[in-house]
Amino acid sequence: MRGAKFIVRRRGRQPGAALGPRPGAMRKSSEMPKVVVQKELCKGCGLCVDACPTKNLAMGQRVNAQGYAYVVWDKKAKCTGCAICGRLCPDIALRIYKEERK
Amino acid sequence: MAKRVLVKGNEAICMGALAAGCKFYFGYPITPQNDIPEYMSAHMPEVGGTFIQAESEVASINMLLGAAATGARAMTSSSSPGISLKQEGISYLCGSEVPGVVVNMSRSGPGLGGIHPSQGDYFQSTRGGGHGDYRVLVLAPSTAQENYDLTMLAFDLADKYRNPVMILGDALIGNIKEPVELKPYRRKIKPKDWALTGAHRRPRRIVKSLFLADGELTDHNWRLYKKYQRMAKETRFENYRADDAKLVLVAFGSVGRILKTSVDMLREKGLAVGLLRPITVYPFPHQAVQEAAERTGHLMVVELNTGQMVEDVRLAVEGRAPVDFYGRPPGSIPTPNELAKEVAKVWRKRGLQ
Amino acid sequence: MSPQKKTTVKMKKVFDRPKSMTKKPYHYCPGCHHGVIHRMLAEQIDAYGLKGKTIGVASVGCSVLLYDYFDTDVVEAPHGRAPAVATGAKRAQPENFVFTYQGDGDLAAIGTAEIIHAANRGEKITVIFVNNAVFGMTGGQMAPTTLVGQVTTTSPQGRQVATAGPPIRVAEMLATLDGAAYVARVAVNNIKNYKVAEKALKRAIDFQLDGVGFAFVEFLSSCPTNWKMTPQEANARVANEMIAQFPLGVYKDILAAA
Repeated sequence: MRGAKFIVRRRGRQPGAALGPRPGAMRKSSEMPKVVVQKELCKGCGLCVDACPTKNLAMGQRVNAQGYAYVVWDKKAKCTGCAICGRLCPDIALRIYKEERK
Repeated sequence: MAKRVLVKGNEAICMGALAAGCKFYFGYPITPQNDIPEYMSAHMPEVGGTFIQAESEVASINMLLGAAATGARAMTSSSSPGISLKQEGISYLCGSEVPGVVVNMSRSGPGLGGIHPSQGDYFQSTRGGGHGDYRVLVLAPSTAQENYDLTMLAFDLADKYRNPVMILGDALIGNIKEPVELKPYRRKIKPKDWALTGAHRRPRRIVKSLFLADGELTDHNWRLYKKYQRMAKETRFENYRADDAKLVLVAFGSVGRILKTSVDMLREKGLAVGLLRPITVYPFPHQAVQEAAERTGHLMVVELNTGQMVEDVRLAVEGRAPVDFYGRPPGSIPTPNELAKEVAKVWRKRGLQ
Repeated sequence: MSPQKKTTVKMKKVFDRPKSMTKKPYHYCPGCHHGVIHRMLAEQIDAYGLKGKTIGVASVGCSVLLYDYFDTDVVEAPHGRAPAVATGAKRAQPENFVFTYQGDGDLAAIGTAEIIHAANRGEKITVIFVNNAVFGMTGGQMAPTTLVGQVTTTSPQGRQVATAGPPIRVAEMLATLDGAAYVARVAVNNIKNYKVAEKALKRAIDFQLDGVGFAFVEFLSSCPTNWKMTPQEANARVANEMIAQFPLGVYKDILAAA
């Protein structure tokens, strides 16, 4: 399943199982929209950092194989999944996930 | 029995193109080939084809590149200065391995020159003409019938080798009016597995000539080189009364046709002369020229320029026989009589009997 | 939430690389708008289902390797000639979506004849013109759209009107042609402009798919490397200097006028 490697596997769950609360569970912060930085694609231009309306992105301290300091996404901050960062990213370095309830 | 018509040389080229399934013509007016875009503007719509009078010769060769990249049979035409403009496009066609027919009805140069028949574009046609290491297959008709026949052949050769093919005529070959037998085109046009038609249910294709990775372009050029070597089997020439000649004339196109009359005139006077007429000037009939040199030891080249094809003749002969040269730079068309006199001079100079 | 009701919650990927792009990482400079514009176009090619029905025409400039990024049929055109090549391709393959993608050197310098005449003939193609006021690939020389006073490698004193003339406004010029159907100028320096740009690009694609006529979108773009600026400073220049010289807007829309 595409994107499977980005899903946190919880102990006791089958691979590929839906991520999310069991019925009756409290909503956790890990179910908010999330942005995953493809760090090898990021060139550290910082345009996403400026564009994010909730200031979830910041220039990182670590450097990728190309030598660029890639951005990091703060998973504790409030992300609305607006994808402004993704659209303005010149390197398609951001993947955005949103909760889908069925 | 195929239909026989009395047409201008330029028109015969168009008829050959249409017979061979050419559905795209892009051109620009320039004397002495305006009959070609004019004819195509009238007749392309009749066969459901596309005619565009482009904004320049540059634009028209690029329109050809675009249409031919999708697998279509496409043609453009011009005359010397316009062919100079097309050189970049021709180089791209060769580098990208895209077929197409480019018609040059040469006129006098250099620069604006004039509108007289000329053979001053021989180097431009056979030595690449544009940048890079490439060759164009060049067919040199000398009659309206050959215009028709060789244009049909040009489309086949272009597709066969995925290379542009040039028809090298001149103002005389374009404007002369002669009977032409409209032989039907019988070959099946094969689909092209490299053509851009939209990557629906197949991997996408790229038509390009840029190869930047280390060694990639070297390999590509060697591949092209091998292709050009394979093109050697398309060599065509005509021997006119040359088998028993003591002096063989070498000439192409309009000079070739004038010299046939000169040869007949001289033969009546007892001079055993003959003509070797290259029909492909690239690939050049080296072997035929070499054989003529070995057989007779006496060659003479006649051209409407100050000396271009004579270099290929000398290269082919490799110094084994003397090669005389009579050049008439464009500005006036030599008569058979004038040329016969020049040939007779060489005959006497060489002490031939 | 009722304990008996079973709800499955999944994290769905809502923003990803478009399918009509290859996975190859861009060679473009950090902050270059080519990357944004390529993705915007590819996203639309996906949305319209055109991946198997597209013939792109690549030009000469920083985007010369466009065929490395678009997973569609692509033909390479000589410098400036893309509109002519696109003319040939579209006339031969009218059911395919044909686009050209050109920079300001390609389109506004060497290619002025080809763009004017393709526009005037009303060729049913979509032209994407990326204007960053400089010749990028060759190292930052002056372009026809370079701003007055802008320092480039061939205008070291800044562009002088007396010797080089003022910058050319291509969108306005093409809009004067009766043959042109849709002419717009947009930018992608911020999300507000991005959204307007996306609408313009969609309309330019619609004009081709509906057989209306020649559609042209000029994207003002930054060039951080050759402007010798950070991506942020470059975006600011687009906002503060370029838009003043090249105003955004729809200059021609023959369907809107009706």
